Amino acid sequence: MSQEKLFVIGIGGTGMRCLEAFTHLCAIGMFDNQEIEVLTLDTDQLNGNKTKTENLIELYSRIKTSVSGAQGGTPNANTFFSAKLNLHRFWTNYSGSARANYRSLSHLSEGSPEKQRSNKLISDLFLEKNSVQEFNLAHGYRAQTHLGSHLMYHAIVESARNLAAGKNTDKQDKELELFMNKLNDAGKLGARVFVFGSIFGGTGASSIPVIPKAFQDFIRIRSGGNSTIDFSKIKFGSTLLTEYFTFKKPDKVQMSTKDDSVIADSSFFALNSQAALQFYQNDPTVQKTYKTMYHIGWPIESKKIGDEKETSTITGGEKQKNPCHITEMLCACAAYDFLTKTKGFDVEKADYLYKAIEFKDNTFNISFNDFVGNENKAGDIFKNRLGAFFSLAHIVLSINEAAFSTDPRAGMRAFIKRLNDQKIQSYDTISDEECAEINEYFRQFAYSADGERFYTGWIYQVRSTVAPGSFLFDSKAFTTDMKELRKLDIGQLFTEKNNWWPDGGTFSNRFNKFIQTLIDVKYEDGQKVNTTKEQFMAHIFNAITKSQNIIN
Amino acid sequence: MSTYIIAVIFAAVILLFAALISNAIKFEGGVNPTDPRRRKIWFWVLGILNPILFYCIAAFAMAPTNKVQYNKWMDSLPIATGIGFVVYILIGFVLSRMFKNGKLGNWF
Repeated sequence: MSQEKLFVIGIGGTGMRCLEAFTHLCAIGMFDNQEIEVLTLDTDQLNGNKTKTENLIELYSRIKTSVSGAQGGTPNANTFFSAKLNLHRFWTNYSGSARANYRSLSHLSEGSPEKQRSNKLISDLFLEKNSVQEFNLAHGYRAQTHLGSHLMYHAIVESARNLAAGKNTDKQDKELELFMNKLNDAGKLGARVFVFGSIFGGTGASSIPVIPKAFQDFIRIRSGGNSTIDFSKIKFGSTLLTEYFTFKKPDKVQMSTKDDSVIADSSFFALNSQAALQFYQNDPTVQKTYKTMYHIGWPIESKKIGDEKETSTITGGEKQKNPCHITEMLCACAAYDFLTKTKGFDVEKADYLYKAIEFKDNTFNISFNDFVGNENKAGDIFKNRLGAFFSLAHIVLSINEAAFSTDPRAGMRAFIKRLNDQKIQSYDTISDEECAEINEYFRQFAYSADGERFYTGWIYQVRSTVAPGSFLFDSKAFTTDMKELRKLDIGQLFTEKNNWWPDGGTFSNRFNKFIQTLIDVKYEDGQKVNTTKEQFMAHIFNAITKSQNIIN
Repeated sequence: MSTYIIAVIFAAVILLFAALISNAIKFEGGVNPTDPRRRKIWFWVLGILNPILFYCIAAFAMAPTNKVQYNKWMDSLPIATGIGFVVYILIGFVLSRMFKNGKLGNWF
């Protein structure tokens, strides 16, 4: 694992969902001993995906926080929730009529007549007058990347100028400054920054090319010219994520208003991706500022998302809550590669990486090594940790009933009671609220139910994008039938029999044997767990790891 | 003396039986697992059955035919039964503490 300080940035709706996948990778324990600074960057403060991801990271941090310990906990090793995540939020301010669209934001009607004429001419040259200059920016840049790059750079630099001038600044400016200060401090020793975003949409596609330069200028302006980013010490990586979903095509009625005069049309996403890839291949700034770019795409027809009953195209806001997709998980794994690799940074210009997965007989066949490779046993580690977390999710949600019940005794509390019944009372001080937070995390990771209605969580949604193809675990592990879930043999989630939990003989079963293992093992000093909650999670991690027999 | 030895051996056998049953009861998950209570119930049920069974077997199946020996046997039987019961509880308690994190730990 790298000794450099790690930074991760999610930009736009797709970037947020990649960040969600990244958070789950942290939860399964893929980033041992790391404190990671996370920045969410969007134009759309109310975007549903953004809110969901930020809430997830906040939940993650609450799970790591204990009453007596540091806020957000401390980094651990070989356990769940091992990385410490510090969330920072920045969003561009496009509220109020003076900042709602390009025309008003750029003050085209201010200044001397000659200045106004020049500004208008240059704006009209690059940006279509009656649509691109006038649509409401509050829901993002709507696939207008030429406008978006300009405005995102402007927003970051404007924030630096306001902070440097000591003007009244907003909460998001202060959070961006805190993130930048950490980046600047880390830059002296070395840092890695990974940027999540799509290249086919609006906000992410607009921002990825300008982020390193905008950050460099922010630090230069804020420090009064005394500091800057050295791209040989602060290394940037990013995804080049091409189109993988479509949505309802906007109709003329919706586009008849000025606010919605431009709406992203998913039928152009393939074309957008193609143009963007040509740009990334040739642009000298991108090639100079990024070290590695991971090209991730979807090789078959994209699935349509959204509710067919919706009368109009969702442009953003609270309603934009797209389901999760395996490409986002692959982006998170690209971040894992970038943040952990030990070589490949001594390049003159950006290195473009890609890999292929098997698609045969119209189905995908995806294995653990497809996600993270197997250098330094990364594939085995990933298999062990994802398997352990998924098994624990099933125990908490189905066996211990947290998916179906709001009973405070359900889920993790039932685990603590079980250990208490066996006279292991060291975890009794973990409160019901703390157990409820861990239960909630597992609901978001796997599934939940409300009466007879079943809600899929992240890993179920990811799996559904490749179904009926094989996806890491036995298909029975992804059942949505609540009766089947209650009877599911948790020790048989893997397809390989040698990773099934031992059944313990005639008068036993896999769960019985697992509890015996849970009683026998403990947390270890090497796991660097300090608080009771961390020790509890490490204890369970060790019991499942021993049962799975992937890593000895 | 032999009555007392038989009572202790009988208690040990019943205790072994209780331990086997306890280990055969699987750990359960869920909000309200019943397995600890079932182990405890089995321990106490066998604990009560131990003196009853011992007394009945010793009195009706094992008693000597010689009158003098029979009287001696029957005189010592209540005390031996009591000793068997106490031994069952004591050894059960010791085992429960020795294996306090295991299934036998549910006895006490």
